[in-house]
Amino acid sequence: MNQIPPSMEAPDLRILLASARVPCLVLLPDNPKFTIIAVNDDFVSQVKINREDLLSKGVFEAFPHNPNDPTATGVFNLRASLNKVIKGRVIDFMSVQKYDISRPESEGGGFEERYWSPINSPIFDSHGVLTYILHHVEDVTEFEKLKRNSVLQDSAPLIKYAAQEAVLLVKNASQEAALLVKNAAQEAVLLVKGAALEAILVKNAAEEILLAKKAAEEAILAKKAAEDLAERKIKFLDIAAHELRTPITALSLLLELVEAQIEKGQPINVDTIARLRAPTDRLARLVVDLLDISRLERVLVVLLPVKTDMALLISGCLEEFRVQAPKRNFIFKKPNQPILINVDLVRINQVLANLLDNAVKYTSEGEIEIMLEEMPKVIRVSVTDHGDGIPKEQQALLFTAFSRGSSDATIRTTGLGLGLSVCQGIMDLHSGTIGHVSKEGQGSTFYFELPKLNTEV
Amino acid sequence: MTILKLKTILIIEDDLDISFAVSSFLQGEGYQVQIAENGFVALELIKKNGVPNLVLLDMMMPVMNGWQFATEFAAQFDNSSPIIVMTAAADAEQRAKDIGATGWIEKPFGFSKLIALIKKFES
Repeated sequence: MNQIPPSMEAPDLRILLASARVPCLVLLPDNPKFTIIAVNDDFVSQVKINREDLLSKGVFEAFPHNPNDPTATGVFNLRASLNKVIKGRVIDFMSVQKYDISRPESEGGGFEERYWSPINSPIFDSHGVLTYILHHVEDVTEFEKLKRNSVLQDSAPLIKYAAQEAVLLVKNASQEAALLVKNAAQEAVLLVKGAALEAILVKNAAEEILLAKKAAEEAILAKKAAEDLAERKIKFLDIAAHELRTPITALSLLLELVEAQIEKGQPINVDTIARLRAPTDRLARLVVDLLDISRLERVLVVLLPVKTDMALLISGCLEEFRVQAPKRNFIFKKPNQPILINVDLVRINQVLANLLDNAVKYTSEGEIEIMLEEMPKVIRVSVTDHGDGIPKEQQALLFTAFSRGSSDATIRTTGLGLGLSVCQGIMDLHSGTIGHVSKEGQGSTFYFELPKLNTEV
Repeated sequence: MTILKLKTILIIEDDLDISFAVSSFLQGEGYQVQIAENGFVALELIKKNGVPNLVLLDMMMPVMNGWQFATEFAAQFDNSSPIIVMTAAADAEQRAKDIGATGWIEKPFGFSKLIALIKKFES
């Protein structure tokens, strides 16, 4: 016979339950009272209530809810769980419950905050009838408290993070605001710049318009100058035709007279022959003038400079004029010493003769004064008449080719009006100048200046 | 305007060689010729010697030119004679019309042309 050792014998379950370190209640399934029929020691020590105060009482009677905690759901949740066990005949694990327990008067009374993890298990008899409900709980108050602290601890970084986020947000917001302000400022600057650029463009356009206007005005002036020249040339051709026709008419008529005399066998009239000289000379002079101006305009004249005394040159020229115009009084004023210059004698004589010829032609009476002066760098020769002077409007064109005055005095005289422009050309070639001073009604002075010969050389 | 036989002709011309040649020729043709070197002298001569049968008139002259003479001549004398303009200008016909001249002759011209023009005024 196998002997079962005393330790192996089935223990008294009542003793086990009573002393187990799990707080347990045994309830009757007498819904809604759920009478407490057994309490183990651990439960009594945990909830700090005498066994006698618990046994035979309904569970909700023994553990009323904490009237100071309006959010307490412990009673409701326990009832729901117990009903679940009765109806479903299954074990029910309740979630952690807050179920405060009343503190004994000896410990100050009131309620103590407690968290519980309860399990309700159905206990059936041999016929499968639900006889009891085993309610055992675990005090998880400390754990819950720890959990809540950890939540707080956990929330610290969250708060920190939130603070940081807030800082970042504020920072970002301020940065964005700064950016917006900056952008607005930049846009304002751009707008101002744009406006300035547009102003510059407008200014440039205005300047371009001015330039275009100037160019147009210059073009008009150039056109007018060209038209003036064309007009002067046409006028010149008219004058040239007239001037050439007159001596040719005289020559042709005088020759006809001579021819008629020869034809008739009459003696040739000497007076008629003598008259051929003047128009012939006039024609020759006109042709020389035309050739001169043409050559001067094409710079074909070559000077042959000779060292000479200007006073002597003038005296020689004056002698010719005293023969040509015996009625006129020529007065020559000059320094005592010789005035040496290096010039083309023929050309300078031509200039002087031209000025003297004009003085004789354009004035019918009065003295003609010739003056030779020595200036610091140049010598000056001037011819002054006491005639009517030159009208102001004609002074500008005096030295211009193909222009001739149109006063009565001009009509009286002959010539192509090329004399002074020829003189100008000759003076240009000598690096000299030619000019005039004239007041209408008070006579004219024409002068030319030539560079002085360096006496040291 | 025709005259049976022109007797007196007045030449108004500032070029003395031309007026000498023309007067020599016309005298040879049997006309009485007077010469004036400008319009002013011509008017004086007309006042002194009477209105000529024909005037040969240059246009460009000093003191008094052809236009001025024509105007004065028409204003001062009732029995104004035919005028033939002698000119070296390019637009002789226009100038003749401007002063109401009867005819014109362009310089240079020959005696044959001049006498043909004068004969036109004789019947």
